[in-house]
Amino acid sequence: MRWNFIWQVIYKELISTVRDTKAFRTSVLMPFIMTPLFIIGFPLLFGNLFGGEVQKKQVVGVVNLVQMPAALKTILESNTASGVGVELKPVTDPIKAVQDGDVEAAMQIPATGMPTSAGGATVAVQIYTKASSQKSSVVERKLSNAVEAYSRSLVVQKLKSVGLSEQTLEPVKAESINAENEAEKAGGIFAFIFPMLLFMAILGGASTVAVDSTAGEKERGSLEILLVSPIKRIEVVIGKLLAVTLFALFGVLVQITAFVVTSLVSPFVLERFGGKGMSQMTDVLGGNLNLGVGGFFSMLAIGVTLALMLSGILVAVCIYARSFKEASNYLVPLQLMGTFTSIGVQFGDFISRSTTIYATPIIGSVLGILDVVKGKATPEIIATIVIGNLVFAAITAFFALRNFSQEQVLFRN
Amino acid sequence: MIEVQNITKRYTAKVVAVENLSFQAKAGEIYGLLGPNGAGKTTTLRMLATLLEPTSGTLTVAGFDTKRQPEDVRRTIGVVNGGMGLYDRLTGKEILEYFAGFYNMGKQDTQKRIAELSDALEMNELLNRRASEYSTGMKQKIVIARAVIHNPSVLILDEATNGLDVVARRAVLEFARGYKNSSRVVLYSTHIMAEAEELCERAAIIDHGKLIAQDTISNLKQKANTNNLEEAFFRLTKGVA
Ligand SMILES: Nc1ncnc2c1ncn2[C@@H]1O[C@H](COP(=O)(O)OP(=O)(O)OP(=O)(O)O)[C@@H](O)[C@H]1O
Ligand SMILES: [Mg+2]
Repeated sequence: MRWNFIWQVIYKELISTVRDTKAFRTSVLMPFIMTPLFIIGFPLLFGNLFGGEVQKKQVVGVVNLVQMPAALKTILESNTASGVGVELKPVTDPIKAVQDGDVEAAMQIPATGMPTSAGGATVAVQIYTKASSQKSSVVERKLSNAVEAYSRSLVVQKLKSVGLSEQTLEPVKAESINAENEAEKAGGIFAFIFPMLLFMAILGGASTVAVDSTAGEKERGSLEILLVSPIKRIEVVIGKLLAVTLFALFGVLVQITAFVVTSLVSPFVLERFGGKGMSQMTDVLGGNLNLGVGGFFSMLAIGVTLALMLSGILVAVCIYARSFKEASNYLVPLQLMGTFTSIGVQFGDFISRSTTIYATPIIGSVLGILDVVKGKATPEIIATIVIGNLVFAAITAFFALRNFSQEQVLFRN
Repeated sequence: MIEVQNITKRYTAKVVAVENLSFQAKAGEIYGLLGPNGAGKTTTLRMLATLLEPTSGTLTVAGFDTKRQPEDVRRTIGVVNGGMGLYDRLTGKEILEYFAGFYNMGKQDTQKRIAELSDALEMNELLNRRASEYSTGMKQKIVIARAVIHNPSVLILDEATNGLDVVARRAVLEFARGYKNSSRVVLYSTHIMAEAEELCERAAIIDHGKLIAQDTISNLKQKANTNNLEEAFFRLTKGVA
């Protein structure tokens, strides 16, 4: 092994890649665009939409509006802390009215009227909304809350008339408290973006170099000339592997920096530009990343070893290809795998965590990053992932080496 | 200097690219390897260059066996393939320095050699420009300079004039002629007979991986009863097709 030869190969790949300014700039900028977009942009967008719906005065169709008790009408039309009231409009066919979009929801007051005091039989009030629409859930909640409040007011009246207080209704009550820690709350349903972005950042930087320095050199014919010089094939492949790895590691660093920077600015941006529904929204979607020092290094350890493993796969696969285009085609499944695994594992609460699954390439790393984001990663988990990745990095590097020493691969027709 | 003995190259069970081929090229000559498309020229040259291993037979270059002393062989040869592969984002000088590095040429030797070649190939103004800016003719100059950066005693040219205009083609032929000397050999592979006729003293004609004839150019023409090499080539290769 002549390290001066290997270094020469690395150096050439480095300057070739960095001089491709457009591609290089993109690979640096991408994480700084995508990360804030997901972590700040989406919660902001959804939060404002959601908040907007709460603050909107929806039109609600009412069958037998004349029969509606004045007290209920007042509750429905008045603004409360949790949102503005609705506008009531008489209709005859509630389903048709909702379907035609004349009204955003409808309710049906019985033709026989509604009770104005408690004690008689229970009377039902139907509420019509489009159940699968996120927007209707807001107005639906407004209507059912109003009916419930009216019903309760009748009960309270009744209790008072016999000398009992409102508390009689509820001698004991359950109180739910969110026991997630800050990091878990931060995870949200958008947590999958963390492994996905990391995966994309690794491939983004490294695949250009991998394709260019293997399939690309093959297509141009320069690989043949390189192999005719006294450098050994193993030195060539180690050089190329290391060059690809350097860019993969660079991708990891850039992406983790983007995570850290975004998580530092996001609270301020969300507070400044977030609407009323913002706090609920960031709780659901995630918007704050609380890595902490341990989390930072765990993420780094997973990222670095994942980068090693992916570099081996990239070189082994790309050297098999005969042209840029063929190599790019081979890489598509690898890219999709990162995204799909990230999204799939997002619902990973069902996956039973085991050493085997953490040691599984890609899936293990994705799970691990989610665990880090949710503050659930233990040193054992991180160690399992790191060792698994290193073992697979060695295996893929071996395949890269083997492919370089096979003439059927290098001179495929 | 180049000895090819009974080599056979079988890519797959069905594809036999070269079959029991033998020829010798001596120091001081430009030796032609002639054959139609698919004859097995590139395959043979790749075996000489240690890139492919023959299924059977032996090849020696300057006394080194390609199988047992591949690195010695590689140190001795320079190769121009049809590919013209340069690194687009490197300058001509950087490309030459990159390859010189693998022959352990010192910095000074490398610069001296680049200056020499730059004069010989008239490529001074190319050296500090990136390869992506070159025309095909300019590229070929760097490709040739790269092949001989280490002064190899065996120069292998495979379709070296591919895609070149008249001027650039002339420059390549002239370089090949000038490169030959009493201790060097140039192996020139082509399917263009006019080039072979102009350049080579002796040649092997191959077709379908087999040797058809090996002789001086004039004897080859005599054998086929014509004074035109292209006609001779046509007559000789038609017999086996
Ligand atoms: N890697 C490979 N795998 C399988 N078959 C191959 C391979 N390389 C070449 N061949 C086949 O071997 C035969 C000889 O090919 P080769 O490239 O050596 O011919 P050539 O004389 O250089 O032709 P050309 O003038 O077209 O360059 C052809 O039939 C070709 O299809
Ligand atoms: Mg050929």
